[in-house]
Amino acid sequence: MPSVFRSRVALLGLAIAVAACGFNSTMERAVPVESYCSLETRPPAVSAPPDTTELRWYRAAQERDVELSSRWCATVGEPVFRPDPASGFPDWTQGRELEAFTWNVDVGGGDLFAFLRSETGLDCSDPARAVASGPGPLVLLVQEAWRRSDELPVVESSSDVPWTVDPDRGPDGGADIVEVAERCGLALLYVPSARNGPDSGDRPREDKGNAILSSIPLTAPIAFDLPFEAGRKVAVAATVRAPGGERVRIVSAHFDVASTLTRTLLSGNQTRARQADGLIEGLRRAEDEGPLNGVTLLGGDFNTWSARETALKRMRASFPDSPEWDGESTWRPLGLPVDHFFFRRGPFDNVSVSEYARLETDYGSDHFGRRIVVEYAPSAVPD
Amino acid sequence: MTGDTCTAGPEGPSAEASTGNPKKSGHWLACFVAAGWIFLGPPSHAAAQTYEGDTWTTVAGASLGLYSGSVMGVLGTMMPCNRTLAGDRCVASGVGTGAAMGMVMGGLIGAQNTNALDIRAENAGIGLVAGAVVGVGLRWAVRQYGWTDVGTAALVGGAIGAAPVGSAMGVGAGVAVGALAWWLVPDATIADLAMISLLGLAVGGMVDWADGAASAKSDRPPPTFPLFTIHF
Repeated sequence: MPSVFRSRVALLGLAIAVAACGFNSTMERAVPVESYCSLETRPPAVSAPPDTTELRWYRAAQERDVELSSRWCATVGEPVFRPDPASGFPDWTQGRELEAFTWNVDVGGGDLFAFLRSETGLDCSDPARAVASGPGPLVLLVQEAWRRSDELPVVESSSDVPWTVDPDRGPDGGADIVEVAERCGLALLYVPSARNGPDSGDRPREDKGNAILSSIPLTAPIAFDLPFEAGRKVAVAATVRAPGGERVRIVSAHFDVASTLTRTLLSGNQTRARQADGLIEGLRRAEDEGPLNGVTLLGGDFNTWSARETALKRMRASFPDSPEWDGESTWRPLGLPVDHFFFRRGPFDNVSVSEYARLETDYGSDHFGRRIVVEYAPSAVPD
Repeated sequence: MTGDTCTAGPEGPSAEASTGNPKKSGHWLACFVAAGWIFLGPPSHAAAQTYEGDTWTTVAGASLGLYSGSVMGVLGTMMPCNRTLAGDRCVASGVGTGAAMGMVMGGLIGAQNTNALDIRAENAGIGLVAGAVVGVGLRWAVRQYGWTDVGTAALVGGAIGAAPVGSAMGVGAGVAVGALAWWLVPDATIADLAMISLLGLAVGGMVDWADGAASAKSDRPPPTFPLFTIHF
């Protein structure tokens, strides 16, 4: 066969193959289903589950997401849920505002004790003093929280285990998220999503993920295993009660900074938009199953390269009462606007956002935190 | 689901499986090997003085243009479209536009000038190898990158290589404009620089295809670069 002819035919085959299997214009949709670390699902709840302390799970439905996420899931430890803070912290009562923060702590690079002391006045040097010095009702949404534990499974280096993040945690090695919660007397929901590096024997076993710290009781913990891109990301949610008994869902989320080259091209760079879709869909499913929350405050590290990204536009569309972006970047290395808060009050007009700003100090993390204040006005009482 | 047509059997806990396409490693390896055979096979310069093509060369040119234009489409639109609410449909439009333009331009070149088509195929082969080298570097540097991504980098290199001069000029202009914007516009970030650079690359690449189609009949001699001769 002449080489010219052979080359042309082969070229045709390559072009058809690339066009057919590569550039599929239909992007993937995430539809969370239930279960954790297994391929099994459970049917949706017929009636609203009670306001329980049992962790509920939602995850992306795509076969690829389920498989990869399950493999990563097998490398981490159990979630931690301690719903009640130490006694003595003030409740969220009428006349008080709920102060919330979101902060990526860079796997221990950020000093949570210094953060809490400086931003909230909470002195965690011992639990008794922590409560005594405690602020008003406080919620802290943490990303890249970390936990040290000998009970974690031993894992070797593999593509299911990300590289070790090893920031300077000070001479004592730093306090992990569980120790921070204990020393500060705060309620805690922590769900690991990945290991912090393989076990080499040189350093303790660690996993990392999202967390919620709170000075008011948490209920209805939920984990959302987001659509899988380059690594596993699990958003966490819990419910707190507003002064009038309204349920306010608090969510801490972390999206991927970038996917693999192949997925970036095949999805048209929709990495974070896909994760936003998954989270929005998961929250909708959770609301559908109940109990209904109505008010949702969602903060996190969305790893957005621009404040106009598709993911943020979709989040804003789903959270129409969100504060406007203030033009401030929160990721120091490249000055990108990655950290945001979103808010929707649903039918409750008496809950609103009154303040929103970036913090001025990074406390050792590569991220600046953000602060938001939620106001509560009692509903008008008919005469 | 994206990429389902590329499924190639059950997967194990391999590096490929974690890179985002767990069932496609076999396929992409095959694509990579096939692409190497295509582009780096025996030279296919036409011996005749006239380079009039036939049906096969037209189809081959259209195929090369379709491939290159599709990649240009996704490269050029993926960042601007990621600032729209319907980002996925926006990118799909860009890919479709690039593919259609590339197919038409490539078909015209293949029909009128087989020598020009062969040169583009050779340049695509060089781009493929260069892309593979870059991909190997990325795989070494980025934990979650597997051989799938090396193959993808090679394919991107091949697509750019098929329209080398326009792509190079486009990305150069894009970097210059993007850097200027980054410097002058207070809100601009490195993301804007990357976006404008990729947009420049894609536009330059498509202009290269259009220029090739417009001049396919002229059989003009290749221009020279300072360090080496490059054909377009």
